[in-house]
Amino acid sequence: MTRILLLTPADVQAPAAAFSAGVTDSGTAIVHRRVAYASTPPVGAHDWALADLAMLAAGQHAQEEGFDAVCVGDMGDYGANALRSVLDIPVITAGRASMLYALSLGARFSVAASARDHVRIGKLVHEYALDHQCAGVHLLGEDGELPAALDEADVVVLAASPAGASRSVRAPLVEPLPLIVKLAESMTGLGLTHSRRAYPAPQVRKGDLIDALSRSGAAS
Amino acid sequence: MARVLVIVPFPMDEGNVAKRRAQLNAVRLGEGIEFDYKPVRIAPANYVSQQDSVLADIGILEAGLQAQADGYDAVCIDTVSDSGMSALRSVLDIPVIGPGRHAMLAALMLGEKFSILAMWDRWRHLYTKTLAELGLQHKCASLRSAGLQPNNQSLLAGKEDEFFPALYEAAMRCVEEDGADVIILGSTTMHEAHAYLAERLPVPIINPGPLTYRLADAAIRLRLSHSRLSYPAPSHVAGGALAAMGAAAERI
Repeated sequence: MTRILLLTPADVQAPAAAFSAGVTDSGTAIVHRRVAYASTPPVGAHDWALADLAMLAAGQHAQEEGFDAVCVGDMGDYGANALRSVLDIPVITAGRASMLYALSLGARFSVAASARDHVRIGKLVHEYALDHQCAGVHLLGEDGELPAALDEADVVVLAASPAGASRSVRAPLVEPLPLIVKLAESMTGLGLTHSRRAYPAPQVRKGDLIDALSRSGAAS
Repeated sequence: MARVLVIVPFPMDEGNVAKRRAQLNAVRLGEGIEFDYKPVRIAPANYVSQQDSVLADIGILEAGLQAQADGYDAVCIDTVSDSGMSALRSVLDIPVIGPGRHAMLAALMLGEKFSILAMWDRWRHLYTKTLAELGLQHKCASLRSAGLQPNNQSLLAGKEDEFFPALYEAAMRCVEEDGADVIILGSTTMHEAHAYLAERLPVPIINPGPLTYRLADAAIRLRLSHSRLSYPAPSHVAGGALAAMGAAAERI
Protein backbone atom coordinates (compact mmCIF):
# COMPACT_ATOMS: atom_id res chain seq x y z
CA MET A 1 0.00 0.00 0.00
CA THR A 2 1.37 3.41 -1.00
CA ARG A 3 -0.26 6.37 0.74
CA ILE A 4 0.05 9.70 -1.05
CA LEU A 5 -0.97 13.05 0.37
CA LEU A 6 -2.17 15.31 -2.45
CA LEU A 7 -2.35 19.00 -1.60
CA THR A 8 -4.23 21.28 -3.99
CA PRO A 9 -5.09 24.96 -3.66
CA ALA A 10 -8.59 25.75 -2.39
CA ASP A 11 -8.93 28.73 -4.74
CA VAL A 12 -8.83 26.45 -7.77
CA GLN A 13 -11.66 24.09 -8.64
CA ALA A 14 -11.08 20.65 -7.13
CA PRO A 15 -9.60 18.24 -9.66
CA ALA A 16 -12.40 15.70 -9.39
CA ALA A 17 -11.77 14.13 -12.77
CA ALA A 18 -8.00 14.30 -12.71
CA PHE A 19 -7.57 10.59 -12.10
CA SER A 20 -9.21 8.36 -14.61
CA ALA A 21 -9.57 4.74 -13.59
CA GLY A 22 -6.44 2.66 -13.93
CA VAL A 23 -3.92 5.48 -13.69
CA THR A 24 -2.62 4.58 -10.25
CA ASP A 25 -1.51 1.20 -8.92
CA SER A 26 -4.30 -0.70 -7.17
CA GLY A 27 -2.30 -0.47 -3.95
CA THR A 28 -2.10 3.31 -4.02
CA ALA A 29 -4.33 5.40 -1.77
CA ILE A 30 -4.59 9.13 -2.35
CA VAL A 31 -5.70 11.44 0.45
CA HIS A 32 -6.65 14.78 -1.02
CA ARG A 33 -6.47 17.95 1.06
CA ARG A 34 -7.45 21.35 -0.20
CA VAL A 35 -5.26 24.12 1.10
CA ALA A 36 -6.49 27.68 1.60
CA TYR A 37 -3.96 30.47 1.08
CA ALA A 38 -4.34 33.67 3.11
CA SER A 39 -4.24 35.79 -0.03
CA THR A 40 -5.63 34.66 -3.37
CA PRO A 41 -5.21 34.52 -6.24
CA PRO A 42 -1.46 34.15 -5.68
CA VAL A 43 -0.24 36.64 -8.26
CA GLY A 44 2.66 38.35 -6.46
CA ALA A 45 5.37 37.88 -3.88
CA HIS A 46 3.17 38.79 -0.90
CA ASP A 47 0.70 36.07 -1.85
CA TRP A 48 3.48 33.59 -2.61
CA ALA A 49 5.01 33.93 0.84
CA LEU A 50 1.64 33.16 2.39
CA ALA A 51 1.07 30.27 0.00
CA ASP A 52 4.47 28.82 0.97
CA LEU A 53 3.42 28.88 4.61
CA ALA A 54 0.02 27.32 3.90
CA MET A 55 1.45 24.40 1.91
CA LEU A 56 4.17 23.84 4.50
CA ALA A 57 1.58 23.74 7.27
CA ALA A 58 -0.66 21.37 5.31
CA GLY A 59 2.09 18.87 4.60
CA GLN A 60 4.65 19.16 7.37
CA HIS A 61 3.25 16.26 9.40
CA ALA A 62 2.74 13.95 6.42
CA GLN A 63 5.46 11.53 7.44
CA GLU A 64 4.18 11.01 10.99
CA GLU A 65 0.68 10.68 9.57
CA GLY A 66 1.95 7.63 7.72
CA PHE A 67 2.16 8.96 4.18
CA ASP A 68 4.79 7.62 1.78
CA ALA A 69 4.92 10.72 -0.42
CA VAL A 70 3.50 14.23 -0.75
CA CYS A 71 2.30 15.80 -3.98
CA VAL A 72 1.98 19.57 -4.18
CA GLY A 73 -0.69 20.08 -6.83
CA ASP A 74 -0.13 23.76 -7.52
CA MET A 75 1.94 24.81 -10.52
CA GLY A 76 3.47 27.49 -8.29
CA ASP A 77 5.29 24.81 -6.22
CA TYR A 78 4.45 26.73 -3.05
CA GLY A 79 6.11 25.39 0.07
CA ALA A 80 7.82 22.63 -1.90
CA ASN A 81 11.40 23.25 -0.84
CA ALA A 82 10.37 23.86 2.77
CA LEU A 83 8.43 20.59 2.81
CA ARG A 84 11.47 18.75 1.49
CA SER A 85 13.57 20.24 4.26
CA VAL A 86 11.29 18.85 6.98
CA LEU A 87 10.27 15.53 5.37
CA ASP A 88 12.28 12.45 4.43
CA ILE A 89 9.55 11.15 2.10
CA PRO A 90 9.51 12.36 -1.52
CA VAL A 91 7.76 15.66 -2.27
CA ILE A 92 6.70 15.86 -5.91
CA THR A 93 5.52 19.21 -7.11
CA ALA A 94 3.43 20.11 -10.14
CA GLY A 95 5.59 22.89 -11.56
CA ARG A 96 9.02 21.36 -11.27
CA ALA A 97 8.03 17.79 -12.11
CA SER A 98 5.84 18.59 -15.09
CA MET A 99 8.43 20.86 -16.72
CA LEU A 100 11.24 18.33 -16.24
CA TYR A 101 9.03 15.48 -17.38
CA ALA A 102 8.05 17.45 -20.48
CA LEU A 103 11.72 17.39 -21.47
CA SER A 104 11.61 13.61 -21.53
CA LEU A 105 9.03 13.88 -24.33
CA GLY A 106 10.48 16.63 -26.48
CA ALA A 107 13.28 19.12 -26.94
CA ARG A 108 11.38 22.12 -25.57
CA PHE A 109 8.15 22.71 -23.72
CA SER A 110 5.50 25.42 -23.62
CA VAL A 111 3.27 26.16 -20.66
CA ALA A 112 -0.38 27.15 -20.91
CA ALA A 113 -1.31 29.07 -17.78
CA SER A 114 -4.16 31.12 -16.41
CA ALA A 115 -3.59 34.66 -15.16
CA ARG A 116 -3.39 33.19 -11.64
CA ASP A 117 -0.14 31.36 -12.37
CA HIS A 118 1.36 33.16 -15.34
CA VAL A 119 3.96 35.31 -13.57
CA ARG A 120 4.84 32.66 -11.01
CA ILE A 121 5.54 30.02 -13.66
CA GLY A 122 7.82 32.41 -15.53
CA LYS A 123 9.74 32.90 -12.30
CA LEU A 124 9.99 29.15 -11.70
CA VAL A 125 11.23 28.47 -15.23
CA HIS A 126 14.09 30.84 -14.52
CA GLU A 127 14.72 29.50 -11.02
CA TYR A 128 14.93 25.94 -12.30
CA ALA A 129 17.33 27.14 -15.01
CA LEU A 130 15.06 25.95 -17.81
CA ASP A 131 14.92 29.23 -19.76
CA HIS A 132 16.57 27.66 -22.79
CA GLN A 133 14.20 24.70 -22.77
CA CYS A 134 11.00 26.70 -22.29
CA ALA A 135 9.51 27.98 -25.54
CA GLY A 136 7.09 30.22 -23.67
CA VAL A 137 4.52 30.60 -20.93
CA HIS A 138 1.25 31.43 -22.66
CA LEU A 139 -1.93 32.83 -21.20
CA LEU A 140 -5.08 30.82 -21.67
CA GLY A 141 -7.99 32.68 -23.20
CA GLU A 142 -10.85 34.03 -21.11
CA ASP A 143 -12.86 30.86 -21.63
CA GLY A 144 -9.85 28.62 -21.08
CA GLU A 145 -9.07 28.29 -24.76
CA LEU A 146 -5.50 27.32 -25.54
CA PRO A 147 -3.63 30.09 -27.37
CA ALA A 148 -2.79 29.57 -31.04
CA ALA A 149 0.94 29.75 -30.25
CA LEU A 150 0.68 26.26 -28.77
CA ASP A 151 -0.15 24.79 -32.17
CA GLU A 152 3.59 24.79 -32.85
CA ALA A 153 4.73 23.58 -29.41
CA ASP A 154 6.84 20.45 -28.99
CA VAL A 155 5.24 19.59 -25.66
CA VAL A 156 2.57 21.48 -23.70
CA VAL A 157 2.34 21.63 -19.92
CA LEU A 158 -1.24 22.44 -19.05
CA ALA A 159 -1.08 24.55 -15.90
CA ALA A 160 -4.84 24.76 -15.55
CA SER A 161 -7.87 22.53 -15.39
CA PRO A 162 -8.02 20.30 -18.49
CA ALA A 163 -11.76 20.94 -18.64
CA GLY A 164 -11.04 24.52 -19.59
CA ALA A 165 -8.72 23.67 -22.44
CA SER A 166 -10.98 23.69 -25.44
CA ARG A 167 -8.51 23.72 -28.32
CA SER A 168 -6.84 20.44 -29.12
CA VAL A 169 -3.11 20.52 -29.76
CA ARG A 170 -0.92 18.14 -31.71
CA ALA A 171 1.74 18.11 -29.03
CA PRO A 172 1.80 15.77 -26.03
CA LEU A 173 -0.22 17.43 -23.28
CA VAL A 174 1.23 17.04 -19.79
CA GLU A 175 -1.41 17.31 -17.07
CA PRO A 176 0.42 17.93 -13.82
CA LEU A 177 -1.87 16.28 -11.27
CA PRO A 178 -2.01 12.73 -12.57
CA LEU A 179 1.68 13.03 -13.50
CA ILE A 180 2.85 13.95 -10.01
CA VAL A 181 0.90 11.10 -8.48
CA LYS A 182 2.53 8.63 -10.91
CA LEU A 183 5.94 10.11 -10.18
CA ALA A 184 5.32 9.85 -6.45
CA GLU A 185 4.48 6.16 -6.94
CA SER A 186 7.64 5.81 -9.02
CA MET A 187 9.89 7.40 -6.40
CA THR A 188 8.47 5.30 -3.59
CA GLY A 189 8.65 2.19 -5.74
CA LEU A 190 12.33 2.87 -6.32
CA GLY A 191 13.08 3.83 -2.73
CA LEU A 192 14.10 7.33 -3.83
CA THR A 193 13.65 10.63 -2.08
CA HIS A 194 15.17 14.10 -2.29
CA SER A 195 18.75 14.88 -1.37
CA ARG A 196 19.55 16.22 2.07
CA ARG A 197 22.44 18.10 0.47
CA ALA A 198 19.97 20.16 -1.52
CA TYR A 199 17.31 20.31 1.20
CA PRO A 200 19.06 20.29 4.59
CA ALA A 201 16.91 19.71 7.65
CA PRO A 202 16.43 22.70 9.96
CA GLN A 203 18.43 22.65 13.20
CA VAL A 204 15.26 23.46 15.11
CA ARG A 205 11.90 22.23 13.87
CA LYS A 206 9.17 24.81 14.31
CA GLY A 207 6.17 22.63 13.63
CA ASP A 208 4.02 24.11 16.38
CA LEU A 209 4.73 27.66 15.30
CA ILE A 210 3.90 26.84 11.70
CA ASP A 211 0.64 25.19 12.76
CA ALA A 212 -0.24 28.19 14.94
CA LEU A 213 0.51 30.69 12.20
CA SER A 214 -1.56 28.71 9.76
CA ARG A 215 -4.53 28.40 12.14
CA SER A 216 -4.51 32.05 13.14
CA GLY A 217 -4.23 33.18 9.55
CA ALA A 218 -7.19 31.03 8.57
CA ALA A 219 -9.29 32.29 11.50
CA SER A 220 -8.75 35.98 10.80
CA MET B 1 -1.77 -6.41 -19.43
CA ALA B 2 0.70 -3.75 -20.54
CA ARG B 3 3.77 -5.15 -22.30
CA VAL B 4 7.14 -3.43 -22.37
CA LEU B 5 10.08 -4.40 -24.55
CA VAL B 6 13.47 -3.92 -22.92
CA ILE B 7 16.20 -3.78 -25.55
CA VAL B 8 19.50 -5.19 -24.29
CA PRO B 9 22.31 -3.48 -26.19
CA PHE B 10 24.59 -6.50 -26.76
CA PRO B 11 23.99 -9.97 -28.19
CA MET B 12 24.06 -12.38 -25.25
CA ASP B 13 22.92 -15.77 -24.01
CA GLU B 14 19.93 -16.35 -21.78
CA GLY B 15 22.07 -16.54 -18.65
CA ASN B 16 23.46 -13.07 -19.17
CA VAL B 17 20.05 -11.71 -20.17
CA ALA B 18 18.91 -12.91 -16.73
CA LYS B 19 21.49 -10.60 -15.16
CA ARG B 20 19.80 -7.72 -16.99
CA ARG B 21 16.33 -8.93 -16.03
CA ALA B 22 17.44 -8.92 -12.38
CA GLN B 23 17.01 -5.14 -12.48
CA LEU B 24 13.28 -5.82 -12.00
CA ASN B 25 14.06 -6.89 -8.43
CA ALA B 26 15.12 -3.33 -7.53
CA VAL B 27 11.72 -1.72 -8.05
CA ARG B 28 8.20 -2.23 -6.75
CA LEU B 29 5.89 -2.16 -9.75
CA GLY B 30 2.13 -1.99 -10.01
CA GLU B 31 0.16 -4.93 -11.31
CA GLY B 32 -0.67 -5.47 -14.95
CA ILE B 33 2.71 -4.79 -16.56
CA GLU B 34 5.28 -7.23 -17.88
CA PHE B 35 8.72 -6.85 -19.40
CA ASP B 36 10.33 -8.85 -22.20
CA TYR B 37 14.11 -8.62 -22.68
CA LYS B 38 15.50 -8.74 -26.20
CA PRO B 39 19.21 -8.59 -27.03
CA VAL B 40 20.19 -6.76 -30.21
CA ARG B 41 21.77 -8.49 -33.20
CA ILE B 42 23.98 -5.57 -34.21
CA ALA B 43 26.37 -4.09 -31.61
CA PRO B 44 29.85 -2.73 -31.04
CA ALA B 45 32.20 -4.55 -28.65
CA ASN B 46 31.61 -1.81 -26.09
CA TYR B 47 30.63 1.87 -25.95
CA VAL B 48 33.90 3.77 -25.89
CA SER B 49 33.95 5.74 -29.13
CA GLN B 50 31.73 7.44 -31.65
CA GLN B 51 32.09 4.45 -33.98
CA ASP B 52 30.48 2.39 -31.26
CA SER B 53 27.67 4.92 -30.87
CA VAL B 54 26.69 4.62 -34.54
CA LEU B 55 26.61 0.82 -34.34
CA ALA B 56 24.65 0.99 -31.10
CA ASP B 57 22.05 3.32 -32.65
CA ILE B 58 21.59 0.98 -35.61
CA GLY B 59 21.44 -2.15 -33.46
CA ILE B 60 18.85 -0.78 -31.07
CA LEU B 61 16.79 0.72 -33.90
CA GLU B 62 16.76 -2.65 -35.65
CA ALA B 63 15.81 -4.50 -32.46
CA GLY B 64 12.94 -2.17 -31.61
CA LEU B 65 11.57 -1.33 -35.03
CA GLN B 66 8.68 -3.81 -34.82
CA ALA B 67 7.89 -3.27 -31.15
CA GLN B 68 4.64 -1.43 -31.78
CA ALA B 69 3.51 -3.85 -34.49
CA ASP B 70 4.34 -6.70 -32.12
CA GLY B 71 1.87 -5.29 -29.59
CA TYR B 72 4.22 -3.68 -27.11
CA ASP B 73 2.99 -0.63 -25.23
CA ALA B 74 6.42 0.89 -24.53
CA VAL B 75 10.13 0.32 -25.12
CA CYS B 76 12.89 0.70 -22.53
CA ILE B 77 16.49 0.86 -23.66
CA ASP B 78 18.90 -0.91 -21.33
CA THR B 79 21.82 1.49 -21.75
CA VAL B 80 22.42 4.89 -20.16
CA SER B 81 23.85 6.05 -23.49
CA ASP B 82 20.22 6.23 -24.72
CA SER B 83 21.53 4.79 -27.97
CA GLY B 84 18.80 4.31 -30.53
CA MET B 85 16.24 6.21 -28.46
CA SER B 86 15.82 9.13 -30.86
CA ALA B 87 15.76 6.88 -33.92
CA LEU B 88 13.12 4.62 -32.38
CA ARG B 89 11.05 7.59 -31.27
CA SER B 90 11.00 8.85 -34.83
CA VAL B 91 9.36 5.63 -36.07
CA LEU B 92 7.28 4.50 -33.06
CA ASP B 93 4.25 6.16 -31.47
CA ILE B 94 4.60 4.21 -28.21
CA PRO B 95 6.84 5.66 -25.47
CA VAL B 96 10.56 4.93 -25.83
CA ILE B 97 12.33 5.42 -22.52
CA GLY B 98 16.08 6.05 -22.41
CA PRO B 99 17.61 5.76 -18.94
CA GLY B 100 20.23 8.48 -19.41
CA ARG B 101 17.86 11.31 -20.24
CA HIS B 102 15.23 10.18 -17.75
CA ALA B 103 17.73 9.71 -14.92
CA MET B 104 19.08 13.23 -15.37
CA LEU B 105 15.58 14.74 -15.35
CA ALA B 106 14.52 12.63 -12.36
CA ALA B 107 17.68 13.66 -10.50
CA LEU B 108 16.57 17.27 -10.80
CA MET B 109 13.34 16.36 -9.02
CA LEU B 110 15.47 15.25 -6.04
CA GLY B 111 18.19 17.90 -5.91
CA GLU B 112 19.82 20.84 -7.68
CA LYS B 113 22.93 19.12 -9.04
CA PHE B 114 23.80 15.57 -9.98
CA SER B 115 26.97 13.63 -10.69
CA ILE B 116 27.27 10.66 -12.98
CA LEU B 117 29.31 7.79 -11.58
CA ALA B 118 30.91 5.63 -14.26
CA MET B 119 33.01 2.50 -14.22
CA TRP B 120 35.69 4.11 -16.37
CA ASP B 121 36.42 7.37 -18.17
CA ARG B 122 35.86 5.82 -21.59
CA TRP B 123 32.11 6.31 -21.08
CA ARG B 124 32.42 10.07 -20.66
CA HIS B 125 31.32 10.90 -24.23
CA LEU B 126 28.01 9.13 -23.66
CA TYR B 127 27.03 11.53 -20.90
CA THR B 128 28.31 14.72 -22.47
CA LYS B 129 26.14 13.98 -25.50
CA THR B 130 22.92 13.66 -23.53
CA LEU B 131 23.79 16.63 -21.31
CA ALA B 132 24.31 18.73 -24.43
CA GLU B 133 21.03 17.55 -25.96
CA LEU B 134 19.18 18.48 -22.79
CA GLY B 135 21.14 21.72 -22.36
CA LEU B 136 21.61 20.87 -18.69
CA GLN B 137 25.41 20.91 -18.43
CA HIS B 138 25.19 23.49 -15.65
CA LYS B 139 23.20 21.04 -13.55
CA CYS B 140 25.89 18.37 -13.71
CA ALA B 141 28.30 18.63 -10.77
CA SER B 142 30.73 16.11 -12.25
CA LEU B 143 31.35 13.04 -14.32
CA ARG B 144 33.52 10.70 -12.27
CA SER B 145 34.70 7.18 -12.76
CA ALA B 146 36.19 4.53 -10.49
CA GLY B 147 38.78 3.53 -13.11
CA LEU B 148 37.41 -0.01 -13.41
CA GLN B 149 37.20 -2.21 -16.50
CA PRO B 150 33.53 -3.06 -17.11
CA ASN B 151 32.18 -6.31 -18.53
CA ASN B 152 28.90 -5.93 -20.38
CA GLN B 153 28.14 -9.67 -20.19
CA SER B 154 29.01 -10.84 -16.66
CA LEU B 155 28.51 -7.33 -15.16
CA LEU B 156 30.04 -7.08 -11.66
CA ALA B 157 29.87 -10.75 -10.67
CA GLY B 158 32.88 -12.00 -8.70
CA LYS B 159 34.38 -8.51 -8.43
CA GLU B 160 32.14 -7.07 -5.74
CA ASP B 161 34.86 -6.86 -3.06
CA GLU B 162 37.10 -4.79 -5.29
CA PHE B 163 34.55 -2.81 -7.27
CA PHE B 164 31.91 -1.83 -4.72
CA PRO B 165 34.28 0.06 -2.37
CA ALA B 166 35.98 1.74 -5.34
CA LEU B 167 32.60 2.95 -6.63
CA TYR B 168 31.69 4.16 -3.15
CA GLU B 169 34.89 6.18 -2.90
CA ALA B 170 34.34 7.79 -6.29
CA ALA B 171 30.72 8.57 -5.38
CA MET B 172 31.78 10.21 -2.12
CA ARG B 173 34.16 12.44 -4.05
CA CYS B 174 31.22 13.49 -6.23
CA VAL B 175 29.37 14.53 -3.08
CA GLU B 176 32.16 16.05 -1.02
CA GLU B 177 34.41 17.58 -3.67
CA ASP B 178 32.02 18.26 -6.55
CA GLY B 179 28.85 19.20 -4.67
CA ALA B 180 26.53 16.54 -6.04
CA ASP B 181 23.09 16.35 -4.42
CA VAL B 182 22.21 13.21 -6.34
CA ILE B 183 24.29 10.44 -7.94
CA ILE B 184 23.29 8.65 -11.14
CA LEU B 185 24.76 5.23 -11.85
CA GLY B 186 26.44 5.73 -15.22
CA SER B 187 25.44 2.38 -16.64
CA THR B 188 22.63 -0.13 -16.28
CA THR B 189 25.45 -2.72 -16.09
CA MET B 190 26.28 -1.28 -12.65
CA HIS B 191 22.89 -2.12 -11.14
CA GLU B 192 24.31 -4.85 -8.92
CA ALA B 193 26.18 -2.16 -6.97
CA HIS B 194 23.11 0.01 -6.39
CA ALA B 195 21.90 -1.46 -3.10
CA TYR B 196 25.42 -1.39 -1.63
CA LEU B 197 25.86 2.26 -2.56
CA ALA B 198 22.33 3.34 -1.60
CA GLU B 199 22.85 1.97 1.91
CA ARG B 200 26.08 3.90 2.39
CA LEU B 201 25.85 7.20 0.53
CA PRO B 202 24.48 10.35 2.19
CA VAL B 203 22.60 11.30 -1.00
CA PRO B 204 20.09 9.53 -3.27
CA ILE B 205 21.53 7.34 -6.01
CA ILE B 206 19.46 6.61 -9.09
CA ASN B 207 19.42 3.10 -10.54
CA PRO B 208 18.62 4.06 -14.14
CA GLY B 209 17.28 0.76 -15.49
CA PRO B 210 14.60 0.25 -12.82
CA LEU B 211 13.71 3.95 -13.14
CA THR B 212 12.80 3.35 -16.78
CA TYR B 213 10.44 0.52 -15.79
CA ARG B 214 8.48 2.85 -13.54
CA LEU B 215 8.48 5.65 -16.11
CA ALA B 216 7.28 3.25 -18.80
CA ASP B 217 4.37 2.39 -16.53
CA ALA B 218 3.68 6.09 -15.93
CA ALA B 219 3.78 6.93 -19.64
CA ILE B 220 1.46 4.04 -20.53
CA ARG B 221 -1.08 4.84 -17.83
CA LEU B 222 -1.02 8.57 -18.56
CA ARG B 223 -1.18 7.93 -22.33
CA LEU B 224 1.84 10.15 -22.88
CA SER B 225 4.41 9.68 -25.58
CA HIS B 226 7.13 11.74 -27.24
CA SER B 227 6.51 14.80 -29.38
CA ARG B 228 6.37 14.36 -33.18
CA LEU B 229 7.77 17.85 -33.55
CA SER B 230 10.89 16.85 -31.62
CA TYR B 231 11.05 13.41 -33.25
CA PRO B 232 9.66 13.77 -36.79
CA ALA B 233 8.74 10.61 -38.69
CA PRO B 234 10.93 9.52 -41.64
CA SER B 235 9.57 9.67 -45.18
CA HIS B 236 9.76 5.89 -45.22
CA VAL B 237 11.00 3.28 -42.75
CA ALA B 238 13.96 1.27 -44.02
CA GLY B 239 12.65 -1.92 -42.46
CA GLY B 240 13.98 -4.22 -45.17
CA ALA B 241 17.46 -2.75 -45.09
CA LEU B 242 17.64 -2.89 -41.30
CA ALA B 243 16.46 -6.51 -41.20
CA ALA B 244 19.11 -7.41 -43.76
CA MET B 245 21.72 -5.69 -41.63
CA GLY B 246 20.56 -7.64 -38.58
CA ALA B 247 20.85 -10.91 -40.47
CA ALA B 248 24.29 -9.93 -41.76
CA ALA B 249 25.53 -9.14 -38.27
CA GLU B 250 24.37 -12.52 -37.01
CA ARG B 251 26.46 -14.25 -39.69
CA ILE B 252 29.67 -12.43 -38.67
